[in-house]
Amino acid sequence: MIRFREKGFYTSIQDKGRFGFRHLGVPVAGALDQISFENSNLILGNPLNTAAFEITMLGPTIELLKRCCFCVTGADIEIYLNGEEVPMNTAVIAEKDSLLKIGRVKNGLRSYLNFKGGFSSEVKLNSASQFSGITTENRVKAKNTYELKEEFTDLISDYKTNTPIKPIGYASLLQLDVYRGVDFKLFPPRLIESLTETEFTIGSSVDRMACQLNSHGELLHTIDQLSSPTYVGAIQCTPSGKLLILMRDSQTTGGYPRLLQCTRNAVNRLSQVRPNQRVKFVIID
Amino acid sequence: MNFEQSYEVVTVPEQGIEVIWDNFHQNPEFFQRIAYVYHALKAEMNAFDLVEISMLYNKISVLCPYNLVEKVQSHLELNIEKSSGHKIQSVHWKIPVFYDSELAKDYSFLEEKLNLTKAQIIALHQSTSYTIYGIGFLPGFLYMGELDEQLKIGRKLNPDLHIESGSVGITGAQTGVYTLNSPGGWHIIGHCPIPFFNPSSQNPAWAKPGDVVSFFEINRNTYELIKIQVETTVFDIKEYLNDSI
Repeated sequence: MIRFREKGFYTSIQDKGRFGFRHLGVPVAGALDQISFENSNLILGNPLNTAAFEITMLGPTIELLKRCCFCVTGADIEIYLNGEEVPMNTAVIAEKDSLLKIGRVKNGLRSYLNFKGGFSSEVKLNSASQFSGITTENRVKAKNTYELKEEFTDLISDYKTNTPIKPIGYASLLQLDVYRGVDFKLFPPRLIESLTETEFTIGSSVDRMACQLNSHGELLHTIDQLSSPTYVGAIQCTPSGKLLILMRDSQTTGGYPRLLQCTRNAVNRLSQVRPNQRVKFVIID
Repeated sequence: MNFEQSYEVVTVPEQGIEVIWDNFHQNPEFFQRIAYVYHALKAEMNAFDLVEISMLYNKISVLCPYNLVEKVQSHLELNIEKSSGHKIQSVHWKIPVFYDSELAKDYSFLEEKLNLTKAQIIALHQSTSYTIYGIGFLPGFLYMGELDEQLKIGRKLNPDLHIESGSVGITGAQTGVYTLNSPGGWHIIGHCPIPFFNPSSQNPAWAKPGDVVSFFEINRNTYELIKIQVETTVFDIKEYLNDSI
């Protein structure tokens, strides 16, 4: 069993996401940085959909009440096991009654803590991903406990990956690969040039629902259409010219026109950006 | 323009396709056919993993692996052809609303703006049957219309930060019931005691696009009784089916 002594800034349980219920308005949810999440399972030799803890900005402090094997991937973050710093992207063995303290994110925004064999948590609609209204809790709370699913008896960890797993890079100016969105042609054709020439800045809101960009005068519009399906990575444009990039917890329908569409990889990269990050769009045909 | 020539298939890059019908407002009969295509496509693609089909108003959205796009498109075209002679199997739900609830906070504003009394607003909301145009916004939230002309009003300029789950709202030509506590910009005229979404069930929602909903007024006693039925799981949504559609 593991017990959370401190919960960190925002820690939630996430897996690949919740599929098959989109037609009923259920967001896909799941780990925002799917690459780092998947890496955590590759490193530990877990089935790839084994749920992990998604850590934001500041990590939790956890009592490991059983011998276990864990790893941390994603954003660069300080990890202390019984007071000693241990590396990221590596399977680490912890003896019974160890204290795991995950500190501050140094670079990026979200890290993933995963355990060999996984841990038990509530599964709703075929997924462990926490989401308000679907799972009982929408994030991990202090004093929560979770059972580890497997007894860890190996003497050494042989799960070290042969090829080093590269965390997603964070450029000072993020080049974001985007396609034309479903509603692109509702906007004036000359817009494409100004979109690729402009440098945008990520606003103060970078939560699991959406990433907001600063407004841009040329994007003001009066397009009024019926509510439409939305997509993870869709970039909506509000009438006041604000761009909203939809992340995995965003609602499945929405009213604003869908100007651009991020690549899947662009969504993973966006999940690691902080407010004030500079962004430039690269349009893919 | 006829139905077969009024649609366009747009690529959703890396994710699938979206089918969009033009001239939707001018052709009220389009919706029944779109709903037919949606349900048929959904049934036919059911055997394939990783395919998610949803609809809202004039659009059908298909998320699928790239190698299935062609298959989806051929099924889509066939069903668009077939949709002229077929009727979807729709169900008529009669849903209870407690209009006198303390949670219905917006009557004084609405009475003034719409120039109607509370009793007239309540009567008009029950006077029509509403079509379910799609599900979204919140899990299990039904987009329903068309509201009586006299009840049409814009969204709140400043959305409420907290609207209680079960609240019945109106805006524009639409009415809907909040299925979770959520922020929202619709005007609240009542409270519905029955659940629209149950995340513990593999069939978490009872309604589907194309179904019809009408509302009937209940008093406080009935409202409290239904709430107890829901809590003790004696509640059965089938009792709210109207067979006389």
